[in-house]
Amino acid sequence: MIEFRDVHKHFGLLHVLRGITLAVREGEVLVIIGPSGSGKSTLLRTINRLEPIESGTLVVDGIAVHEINTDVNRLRKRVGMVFQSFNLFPHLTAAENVMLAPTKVHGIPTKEARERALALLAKVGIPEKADVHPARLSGGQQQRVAIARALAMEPKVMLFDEPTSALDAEMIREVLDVMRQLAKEGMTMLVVSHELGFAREASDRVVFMDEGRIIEDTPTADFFVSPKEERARQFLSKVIRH
Amino acid sequence: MRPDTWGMFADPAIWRFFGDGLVQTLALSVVSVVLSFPVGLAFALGRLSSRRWIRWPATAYVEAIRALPVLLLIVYFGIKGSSLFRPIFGADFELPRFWAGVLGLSLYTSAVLAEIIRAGILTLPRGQTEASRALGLSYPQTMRFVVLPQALRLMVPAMMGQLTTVIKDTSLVGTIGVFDLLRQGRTIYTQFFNPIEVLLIVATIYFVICFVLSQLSRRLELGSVTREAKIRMTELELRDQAA
Repeated sequence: MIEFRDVHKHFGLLHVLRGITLAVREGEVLVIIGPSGSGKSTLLRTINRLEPIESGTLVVDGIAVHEINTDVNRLRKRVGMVFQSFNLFPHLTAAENVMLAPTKVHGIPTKEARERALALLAKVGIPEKADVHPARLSGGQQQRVAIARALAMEPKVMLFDEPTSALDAEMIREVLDVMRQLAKEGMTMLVVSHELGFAREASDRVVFMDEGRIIEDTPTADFFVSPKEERARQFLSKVIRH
Repeated sequence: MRPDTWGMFADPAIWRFFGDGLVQTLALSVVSVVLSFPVGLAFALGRLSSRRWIRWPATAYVEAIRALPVLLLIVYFGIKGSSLFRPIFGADFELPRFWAGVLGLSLYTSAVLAEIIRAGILTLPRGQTEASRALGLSYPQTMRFVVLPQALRLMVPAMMGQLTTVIKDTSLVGTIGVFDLLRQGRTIYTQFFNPIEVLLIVATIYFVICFVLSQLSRRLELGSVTREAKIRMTELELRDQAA
């Protein structure tokens, strides 16, 4: 489904991805953890080419992302993304946020798109907020609309970039519930998050990154029992303590 | 000011005369702003383009035009306007002075609007473009459905401000023989020898129009753009005013 081979990326002098090799099968749920600045978000953002890579190969659902003349819009239709800061379109209602891409990219008629948008908003638990603007939604509700918006394109993969970092405890739960549900339905998911509870329950593999490298890539069960690497062990003990 | 210099203002003919000037002033302003908007938008997008062969000319246009006095542009089109268009409209084409004024004003205003629009676009959080592109919308679609609807709302106050500037700048077209409000006033006071009184009236008319516009723009709802963006836009405006 997704295959990184020796992928490198710099931001100026900063070498943010240093030889990433990673394969994700269809239906797998990966949680990527690691200290800030370790390249987790960048890794995620290369998958839909929000960040282009410099060397190595990256193939997503048969599309060669590393090739310059790859049609990025075709790629992005298959890859949904959820951001830390939600990034809902503030001038559109919740339903319109969900409808925008299907109507403009796929040319689905408005009426049909709205019906599907309402169904998706029901799925994420906020059908009653369809005609409300984002400014009047709580953070958790906004993030759930953002998930519905990404799902509206019927993606094959969902990327979550610290989806709960901007939320407080109460709202974290409602967003994680939606993500758990998605994982259960067999969606391929890559989640950058420090929600170890979610990782433990819903993920198949945990990937630990540090300084642009994947230090550890283990089945979830093993990771929590005995992380192999010292760095991962230290990190884990820090995160769990507070 | 002598009391006997005010008597003439009782004559409705004088007011009709002012009225004619006011119509010219407003027509010049509205036509210039309407023409400059699409041009300004095009140059704003051009300046933001990732392609150098679009970005550089657009930048050169905006920076060059903004560095010139409006009066110079108006005088240029007043003198050269006709011959500029003769290759297109024929050898005996005469550019009406009104349109020479419009050209000078529009050229300048389009460059200023380009900068206002560019600032509005840059003020939006980058996440808006990213979210839109991540959904598979192309760059033009992202501009049209996500960025511009928000940026244009943010820009309403700055654009209203520019409209009042244009209204005041129309007074410069008197130099090429367009009979705008100020020029009409001059005609009156050279006949009645009461410049102070006439200019007071003219000033009041300009003030009322511009004051009403600025109040109006303050009340216009900025729409549902993010608070963060509103704050940044206000900062930009303050900086512009300070410059």
